[in-house]
Amino acid sequence: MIQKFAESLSTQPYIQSLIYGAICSTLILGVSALCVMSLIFLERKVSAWMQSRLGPNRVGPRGLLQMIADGIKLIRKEDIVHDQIMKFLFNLAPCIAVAAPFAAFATVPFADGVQVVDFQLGIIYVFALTGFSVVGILIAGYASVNRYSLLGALRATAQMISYEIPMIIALLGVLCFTETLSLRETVLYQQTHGWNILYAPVSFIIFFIAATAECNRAPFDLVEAESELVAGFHTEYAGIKFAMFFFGEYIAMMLACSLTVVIFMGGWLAPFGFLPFEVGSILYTVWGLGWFAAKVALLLFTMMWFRWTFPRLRIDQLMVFCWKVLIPISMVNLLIMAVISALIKG
Amino acid sequence: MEKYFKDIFNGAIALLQGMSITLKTMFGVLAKDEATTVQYPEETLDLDHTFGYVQAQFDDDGYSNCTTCMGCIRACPPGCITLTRGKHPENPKQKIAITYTLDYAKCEFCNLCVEACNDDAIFMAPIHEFPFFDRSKMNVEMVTDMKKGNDLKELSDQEIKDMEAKMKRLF
Repeated sequence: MIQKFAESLSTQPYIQSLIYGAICSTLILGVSALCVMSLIFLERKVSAWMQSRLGPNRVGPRGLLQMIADGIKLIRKEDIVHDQIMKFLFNLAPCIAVAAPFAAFATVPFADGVQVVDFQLGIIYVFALTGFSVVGILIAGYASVNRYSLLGALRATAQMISYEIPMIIALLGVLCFTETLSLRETVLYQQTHGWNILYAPVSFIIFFIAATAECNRAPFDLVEAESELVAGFHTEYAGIKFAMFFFGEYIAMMLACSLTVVIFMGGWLAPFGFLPFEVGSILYTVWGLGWFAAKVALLLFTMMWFRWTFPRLRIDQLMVFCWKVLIPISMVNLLIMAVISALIKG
Repeated sequence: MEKYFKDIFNGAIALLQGMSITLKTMFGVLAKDEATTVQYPEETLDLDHTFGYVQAQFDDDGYSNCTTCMGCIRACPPGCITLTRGKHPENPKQKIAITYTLDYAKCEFCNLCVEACNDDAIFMAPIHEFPFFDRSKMNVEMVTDMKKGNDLKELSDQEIKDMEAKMKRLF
């Protein structure tokens, strides 16, 4: 639909793609900004409920306006920095932290036909960009000229390098079956063969744990461990720049959950192949969007559940967990999956 | 090797147990309203007899119970209590406080004066919070002319507004 609109405006292909890209990124930015605002509110509510409290309930009905109040407060805050920062890098870091996970949404299929670009190498593109977001954190730690920030950034790098490995290996087991790197075709494969989570539960668990670690979420939030590193890499950030890091963190969380849903839980498909609408109709698209959102919400809740249940790991425990538990298990899992797929496909 | 798998298995079980506990707490709050916190301005905790604001007690005829033994004044760390001594009009042998004043600007709510009192003349009234908007009003004369004097009074809305306006002018 947007493609046709862009074609109607101009005959030049590059102008068409420019208009298309501008409209799509504005849409994704708007929707994800809304989602992040409600996620921050939900995070506070869920944390309160899990700690036997009520959470924010003063601003607006049931505290719903709290998310707007939070946003206004962050934007209006004074931007205080000390005078030894490396100015250019310091300002660049939050932009990278937001842009990298945000750009990865370009190839996530939200529903049948609701996808910005259907890359043939979509999975590689997404993982390249999630790996890139740690550069933002590293730059932030380096440019802040602060020991706590630098320590947090170095931890982030070590964590990212370690946890990419089991994540990709767990994914390889699934790719043995789907035999495609396009995210849309991964979902279409699940339409005919059933959800991947049924065939590869171990891959799913490893992938989700590694994805949680990639987002620097608790219990893997050593990057910004409050009790050890003040606030980690964003110690020196205030106001809107801090808000951008916050925004980037929640977008990365949403991206990780969307990927898990697309790769393992059938993307926009309803469970048990339930299909009340004709494929290709607008109702089918809305139906798919609804299921996609529901599944992502479930996984996001699980991430919050993790955060408010588990204590933070120590740095050596983090490394031991990755190298001695996740990687061996994912290797064995990959071997088994490869053998099974070879047997089935002959 | 056996220990390795046992550790992973036990760890997973323990993590699931932890997650079930938090989920139970969450549904306890959502469904059964079991939140342990008190929603402060609407609800307040019951205060025990050692916490609150000092108030004078009076006998059936309305005279102060105070026999001016000075125990409270000696016990008071910041020295915020002052009283004037007089004779009881019905029983000249008994001494009685004509005025009894407590300066809340100095008071630290330590309860030592109530513990020192032999005659149940003062007690801690379980008032949760009582803001003063004017320092001159913090010197509360609780006993005047041997009878009940100024009490901690609830301020009217108009009074509070006037005082806030006055304070804004200062800043």
